[in-house]
Amino acid sequence: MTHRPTPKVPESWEWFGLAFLLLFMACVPALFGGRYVPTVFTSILLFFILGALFDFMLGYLNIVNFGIAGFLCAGAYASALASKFWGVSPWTGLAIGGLASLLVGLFTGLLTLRLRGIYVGLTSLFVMETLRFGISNARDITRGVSGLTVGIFPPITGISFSRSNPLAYYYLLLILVVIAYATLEVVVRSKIGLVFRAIRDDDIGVSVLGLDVVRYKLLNFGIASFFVGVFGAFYGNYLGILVPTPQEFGIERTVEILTIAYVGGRGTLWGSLLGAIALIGISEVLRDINQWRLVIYGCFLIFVILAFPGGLAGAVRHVALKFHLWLGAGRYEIAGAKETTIRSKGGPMP
Amino acid sequence: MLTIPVLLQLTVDGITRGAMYGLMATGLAFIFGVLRIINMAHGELFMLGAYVMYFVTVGVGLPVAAGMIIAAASLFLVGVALERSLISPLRTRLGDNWLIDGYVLTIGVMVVLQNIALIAFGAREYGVAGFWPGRQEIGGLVIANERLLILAEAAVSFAILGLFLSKTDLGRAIRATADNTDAARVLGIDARSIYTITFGIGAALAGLVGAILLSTYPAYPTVGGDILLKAFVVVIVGGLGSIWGAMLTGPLLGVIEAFSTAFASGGWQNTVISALVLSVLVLRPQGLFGRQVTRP
Amino acid sequence: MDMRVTNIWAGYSGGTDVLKGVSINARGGTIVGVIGANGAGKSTLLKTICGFLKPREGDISFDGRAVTGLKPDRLAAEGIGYLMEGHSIFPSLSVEENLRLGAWSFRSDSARLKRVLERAYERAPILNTKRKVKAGLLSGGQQRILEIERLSLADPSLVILDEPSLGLAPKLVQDVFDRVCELRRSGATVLVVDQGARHVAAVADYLYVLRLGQMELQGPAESFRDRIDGIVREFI
Repeated sequence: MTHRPTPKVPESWEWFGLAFLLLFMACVPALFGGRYVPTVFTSILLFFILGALFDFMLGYLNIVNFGIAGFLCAGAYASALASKFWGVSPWTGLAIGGLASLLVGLFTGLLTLRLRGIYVGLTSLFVMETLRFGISNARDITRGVSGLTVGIFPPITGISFSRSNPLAYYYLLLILVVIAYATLEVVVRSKIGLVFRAIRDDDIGVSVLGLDVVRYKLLNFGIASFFVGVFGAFYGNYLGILVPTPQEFGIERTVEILTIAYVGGRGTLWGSLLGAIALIGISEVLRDINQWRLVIYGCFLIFVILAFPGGLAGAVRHVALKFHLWLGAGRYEIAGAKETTIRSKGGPMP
Repeated sequence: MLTIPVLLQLTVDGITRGAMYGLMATGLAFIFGVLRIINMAHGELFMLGAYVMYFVTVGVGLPVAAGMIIAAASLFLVGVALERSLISPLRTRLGDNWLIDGYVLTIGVMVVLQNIALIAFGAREYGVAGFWPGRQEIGGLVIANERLLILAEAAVSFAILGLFLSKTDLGRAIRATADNTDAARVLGIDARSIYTITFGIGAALAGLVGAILLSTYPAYPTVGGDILLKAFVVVIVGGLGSIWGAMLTGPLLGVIEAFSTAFASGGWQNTVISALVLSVLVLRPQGLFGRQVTRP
Repeated sequence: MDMRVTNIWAGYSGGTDVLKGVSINARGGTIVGVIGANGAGKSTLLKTICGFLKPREGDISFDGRAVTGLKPDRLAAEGIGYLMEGHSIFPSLSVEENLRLGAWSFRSDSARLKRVLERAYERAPILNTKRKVKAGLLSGGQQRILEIERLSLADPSLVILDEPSLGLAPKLVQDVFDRVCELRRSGATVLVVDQGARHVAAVADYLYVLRLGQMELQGPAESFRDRIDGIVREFI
C-alpha cells in the first residue's frame, strides 16, 4: 500500500492563528468598559485552559479524567484554607493550590496505574467525589455547603484587585494562561510528548522499549493537576466564595470542561479555546433560556463524538487547508479526506 | 446504644435500603455486561421511568402494576432508539476502540435528557407518598410497608428477568454475546440486534426501577445524578458486568451505609462509601463478582 | 462444499500485509491442512476467510459462489462451522446451553434440535455427564470437545479449525484429530490449521506450508508424510 504525503496546513499558520486569537482576547476587554465583557472573557479563558489541561490527558494519553473538577477543588480549597488559617497570601496560595492539586493528581495517577480504559475514568471520578464529600462534611474547617469566603488578591505594583476591578483579574488570568499553555505546548512538542503519544497508542510496546511508562503517566498527571490547581486557587479568589457542590467541583463541572475539550477538538490543546469561545458565546446569547444552553452543550458533544471527532479545531484546519491549497500550494488530491478520520481495525463490525 | 435490637433494626433498614441501590444498579450492570460501556445516561432513564409512573398512576389513575409495565415498555423503546441512532453508528465507525468515546457519548445523552426534562416538566418534584401506607412490626423489628412493596415488586421483576435470561433463546443469546461476541456471531447470532435489545432492556430496567422507587425518589429532572452515583458504587463494588453481583452488593452497601450513618456524625457516610469504592478500584477492580480487568 | 481462495493479500490495520498472495483450494469432502511457524499467517488466513478481516486483494468462493466480503454473522447460514483460535466457549453458560447455541440457525425446529443434541452427547459422553456445569469450569480438553461438538450440530458442509490442538495434552490432541477425520467421514470439507504439523499431515488429504505470508510448498499429503520431520525443522 503506497502512502501519499498528506497535505497539511503549514504550522506557522496555526501559530499565527493562535497568536491572533490571544491578541484579540487580550485587547477586547480593555476596549469595553464595565463588568460584562471582562467577566465573559474571564470565563472563556478559564474554560480554555481547563479544557486544554483536560485535553493534555485525553488527547495525549487517551485518559478521560472524569475527576478533573477534583483537582480544581483541591487547588481552590487548599489556597483558601491556607489563607484563612495561616494567613498565607493568595499569591503564594496559587502555588499552594498547585501543589495540593499535584498531590491529588499523583495520588490518582498511582491508583490508576494498573487499570485500563473506563476504570481510570471511574477512579478519578471517585477521587473527586471523595474529596468533595470530605470537604462538605468537614464543616468546621471548610464551612461545607454554607460556603467558604475567599479574599481578594492583595494589590501588586499598585494594581488593585478589588472585586470592582475585573480587568485586573482578567489580565492576571491571561498571564497565568499564557504561562500554562506555553508549558503544555513545550512538553507536547518535546520528546516527552512523543512518548505520551506512543503510550497512548501502545503502552505495552513502549515499556518493551525500556521506557518507564509509569514515570511518564505520572508526569502527565502531575503537570496537568498542578496547573489545574493553580487555576483552582485563582478561581477561589476570583469568585469570592467556594461551595463543594457538583456544579462547582463535581460531575457537572467536569462535564462542562470535558465538553469544551471535545467540542474544541481533542489532541489539539488550542482547540479548547475555540470550544470555550463557541460554548460560552452560545451561553451568553441564550442567557435567557438557560436550560436550552445545556441541551445545546449536550447536542454538540454528541455531534462531535458521532460525526465530527476533529471538533472545531478539525473544522478550522479543514477550511484552512482548502484555503492553503486554493492559494496554489501544491498539486495534491484530497478527495474529501478529513484530517482526523479514525480508521477501525481491518475488519467488519456488527 | 449498641443493643442487639438496635443493630438488627439497622441491619434490616440497611438491607431494604440497599436492595433499592441494588435495583438501581441492575440496568447499568446489564448493559455493561454485554456492550461493555458505562451508560452515563442511566440516571436519566431512571428519571424518565419515574415520570412515566407518576403520570400513569397519579395522572391517569391506573394501578401500580400497569405503571410499572408501561414505564418498562416505554423506556425499552427509548433505549432501542438511543442505541440505534447513536450508539450503533459510533461503534461501527470506531471499531474496537469505541468504549471510551461511547462513555462520553452517553454523557452527552445524559446532559440532553436532563435538561429537556427540566424544560418540559420544570424543576418541581412529582412524588407520591406511598402506594402502601403503614408498616409491619415483626418481633420488635419495624419495616415500612412501602419497603416491603418495593421488595416484592423487585422480586417479581427479577424473577421475570431471570427466567427470560435462562429459559429463552434470546436470553441465552444475550448471555452468550456478553461472554464472547465473536463466538456468538460465528454461530449465527446477530450481534447488532443483541446489542440493541440489550440496551433496550437495560433502559427498561432503569425505567422500571424509577417507577418502583417513585415513593422514595420522586420524579424531578436532576434525580438521575444521585441515582447514577449510587448505581456506580454498587456496580463497582459488586462487579461491573454482574447483575447478581449488583443485587447482592446493594444490600451489603446499604448495611454499611446504615451503620456509618448511625455511628459517624452526619454526612460522613458518603465519604466512607466513596473511599470504599476507591479501595475496591485499586485492590480488586473486578469487584466482588466480576471478571479480571487489570493488565496482564 | 468446495472452497477456493485466490491471491489473498491481508493484514491488520496500519501495518504491513501478513498474507502476500496466498491461494488455497479445498475440494469437497477432503481435509486440507495448513502448517507453518508462528506468525506465518495461518490464523490471519482463516480470519480472512471467515470475514473477521477484510482482504486488501483476492477472492474467496464457496461452491463456485464468490463470497469475498462475507461477514462472520453469515457463516452459520452458509453452512460453515468455524472453530476460533483459543477459547470460544461461553464460560458463564452451562454445557448444554453452549451446545444448544450451536443449533441457533434451526432453534425453532425442536425435533431436529433434540436429535442433534442426543447425537452429540453420544459422541462425547463427557459432555453428557457435565450437562448442567458451567462451561468455564471444564478442563481445556473438555472445552475443546464442547467447541467442536457445538459447531458440528448444524451439520456444516465446511469446517474451519484454527489451532484445535492449542493448549491440549498429547492424548487429547489425538482425540481431536480423530474427530477431524470423523467430520470428513460425514461429508464435510475440513480446513485445518495447526502448530502440530505431524498431526495435520497424518490426517490431511492435501497440505499447504505457509511461511511469512506466502505458500512455500503444497501438495497431496502422502508426498509429505515421510519427509515431515525435515519440513518441520525447516519451516516450523
